[in-house]
Amino acid sequence: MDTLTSIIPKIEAIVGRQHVTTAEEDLLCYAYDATNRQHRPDAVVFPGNTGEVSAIMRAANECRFFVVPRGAGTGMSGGALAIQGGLIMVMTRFDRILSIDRDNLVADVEPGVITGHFQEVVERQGLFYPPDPSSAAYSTLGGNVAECAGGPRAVKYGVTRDYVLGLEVVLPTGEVITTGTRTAKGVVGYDLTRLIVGSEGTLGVITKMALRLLPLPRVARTLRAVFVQIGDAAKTVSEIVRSGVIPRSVEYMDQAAIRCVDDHLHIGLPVDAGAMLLIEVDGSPSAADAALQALAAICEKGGARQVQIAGSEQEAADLWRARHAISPALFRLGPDKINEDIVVPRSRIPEMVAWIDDLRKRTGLTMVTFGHAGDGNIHVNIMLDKGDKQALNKAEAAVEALFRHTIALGGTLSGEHGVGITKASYLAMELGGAERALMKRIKAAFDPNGILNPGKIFGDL
Amino acid sequence: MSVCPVYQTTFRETDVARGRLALLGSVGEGAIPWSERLEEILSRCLLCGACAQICANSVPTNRLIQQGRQCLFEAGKGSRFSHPLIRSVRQGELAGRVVVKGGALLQGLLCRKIPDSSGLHLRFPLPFFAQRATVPPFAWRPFLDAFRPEAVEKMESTRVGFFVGCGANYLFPETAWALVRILKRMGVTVVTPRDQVCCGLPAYVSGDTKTAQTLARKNIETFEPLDIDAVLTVCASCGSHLQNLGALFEDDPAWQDAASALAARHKDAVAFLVEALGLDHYLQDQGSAVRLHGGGVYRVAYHDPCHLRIGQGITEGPRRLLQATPGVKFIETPHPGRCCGHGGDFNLSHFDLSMEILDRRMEDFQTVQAHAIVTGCTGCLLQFAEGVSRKGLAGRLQVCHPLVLVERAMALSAS
Repeated sequence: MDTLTSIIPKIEAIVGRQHVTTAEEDLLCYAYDATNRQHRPDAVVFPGNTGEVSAIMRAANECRFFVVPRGAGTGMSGGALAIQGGLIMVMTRFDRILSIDRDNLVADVEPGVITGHFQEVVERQGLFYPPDPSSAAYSTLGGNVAECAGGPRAVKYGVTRDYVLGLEVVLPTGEVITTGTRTAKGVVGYDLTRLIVGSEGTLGVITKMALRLLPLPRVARTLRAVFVQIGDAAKTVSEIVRSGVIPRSVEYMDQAAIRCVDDHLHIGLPVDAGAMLLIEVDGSPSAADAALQALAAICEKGGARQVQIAGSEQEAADLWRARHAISPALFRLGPDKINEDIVVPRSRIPEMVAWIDDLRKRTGLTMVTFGHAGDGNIHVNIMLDKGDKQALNKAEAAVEALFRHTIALGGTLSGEHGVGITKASYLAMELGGAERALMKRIKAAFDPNGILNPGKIFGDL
Repeated sequence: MSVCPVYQTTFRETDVARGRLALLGSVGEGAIPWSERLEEILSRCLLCGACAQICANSVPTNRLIQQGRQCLFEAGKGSRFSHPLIRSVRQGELAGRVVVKGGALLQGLLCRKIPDSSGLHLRFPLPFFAQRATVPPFAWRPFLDAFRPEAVEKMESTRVGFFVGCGANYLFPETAWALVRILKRMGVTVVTPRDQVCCGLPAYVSGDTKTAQTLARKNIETFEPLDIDAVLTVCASCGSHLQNLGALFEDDPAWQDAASALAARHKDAVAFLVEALGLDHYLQDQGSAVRLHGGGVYRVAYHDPCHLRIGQGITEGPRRLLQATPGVKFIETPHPGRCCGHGGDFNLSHFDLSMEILDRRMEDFQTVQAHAIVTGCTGCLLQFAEGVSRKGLAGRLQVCHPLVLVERAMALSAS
């Protein structure tokens, strides 16, 4: 590792010795993310400002040393893994909220700020940052932007992309660029902001972000509807979309998800139900109540066995607790998780749900589905022991079939997790040759030496 | 990651359950050897238990870290988990007393008072205290030396055993006295065996499980034969350790039953006073107005010790008691349940980190303009005394155990 021994002193000179480590113990702690895969980096650096990031990128580019940016390591597709070794660049020291401009509804923030903390701060000022990935309590805003994170509220408010006005980005060659505008409109030049949002840390390292805010809705109310048949729940979601009432979230849990969570939390969930929907509305108290009544009626008409409206914030929080507990609780069902987040057009949800149910029965795999039914984003989880080769083969075949069916229904392979390494081999299923070639030319324009987050999205092609 | 006080301060993966478990896993598989860096990483845990409490898969991370420290200790590598003071104290009561009495002597010779302090906060020039601005003076007369049981016991009354603990015995004896006086007013007989020793938590968390077991056996033998309804503690840390005493003897079934029996009889004093004796109702019935404070409203904010909230699952009792205490305006702080950063030994070995965690918690009390921080753990009490001094609030923000406040209110009501 000649490059390593020559580059470390340079990086130490840039950030100070205490902010670089090559100790085996530290490397092991930056070898994983939420995918549970292990790729040991060669070094870890914690830069403290844009100048340092730029200097590191310049040094790395000169000696062709790989750099992988990382937030809190909560990504689901391996975006923060150093799969070819190199330097993990941890952005958590960029932890300042620089300004909150109430007159223009814009916040300037650094990428290491924790999403949930940012939401808490703006909400205290009567403002609202809607994107709410399940990991919001510990994920970073920079990671959310790089992966274009979504969340339940996407039904009404869209995803991270819709709240990024501009960025400061360090290119792999070390240049610092600023993209976007701080105005509500702006069409000067290509939209580099949108290009970089969701680029999974392959085009540049985000060092500052201008985020769009909304006024905080006055109230939010929650409803839970329990269905005997999973198909009825799915049809009800389509009916809600058709009704014109726009809830901010429509989350769904299948029976396996309900049972798994109740097994963990013991909160008296309806374990015999086929599925349940958690619906949230917001706005003025009168508008929210009216919407809630309309949605309750739709659920009842759709065959809901029980419709429960939370009477207080505490009751609402209790209802949501079940939803938030699913992802980690799944490991009760098996040591390994294959976690896909396909999206289908909302009108095709009933078809997709029925097809997945059939797939489960056909394969005999332990499958749990839940997710953001309101926007067609369904999380399909296969729990297994990856040491069991037969189960693994079966699961991989099931995933491929799932992806094919998703595309056939006019959907997409990933709603919010990204391609990373977990979906790289399926990229061609959704994107044509010309599109992939163009994307690679864009990548080469940003990163001529291919040093930034290599091997992601396009695989090893 | 969202609940770890250390990670919330450093945002380093080595300072959170996920990283620590990955490392312990690698050691377990033989992929990496024990090392100084690993020792350092394991020492940066408060053992507050917050991660284990929310874990969907019930991973007992704090227990695993303790086991890691035990491995290091038994391999003779656990040196950095302990400062000389704690090493002496954990050898048991006798050595503890020598050190503590020596400490009081040194204090008298070497310390000078901080001018604006209450007189309780003294600067220590001793090497292991040099970094702290304040420590309360060690009691010239520890509680256990001064306490005399009542000559005549009322045979019909409720009888409780009192496990005093080092913090209340040597550092905050007023807390122990407050409990004894309150119980007396409530007509409860207090049995306080003089041959009780340290609960063993300091030894346990530094990986010295054997010493912790020796101390626990002594305490089991002391309390087992007593005819009492409960064993009470005033310090959340001693309490959580007693509450989980059975786990200490997983490899020793002969003692495990006796340890579990003591654990089953243990109860936090505040929780006992509220739940078993209805002290909150008793105070409300008394109802007379008292002034615990110079003038105006006395704003009292409560802090949940991790060893009470997580270790014993107690959050309501202390709040109910303070809400019922005459002369007290109970205030809830933002971020209830946030850790103070003391963590016992952690505070000595990672002082700067401990202070960063403390500063964040202090802001919560300043936000609500509290006149007093009230908490039921001698570790938290020590930490907040330091916090008050750091923020220059000596004389304006008091720190005490809930029972001290309650006892003062009861005494004033009675007079």
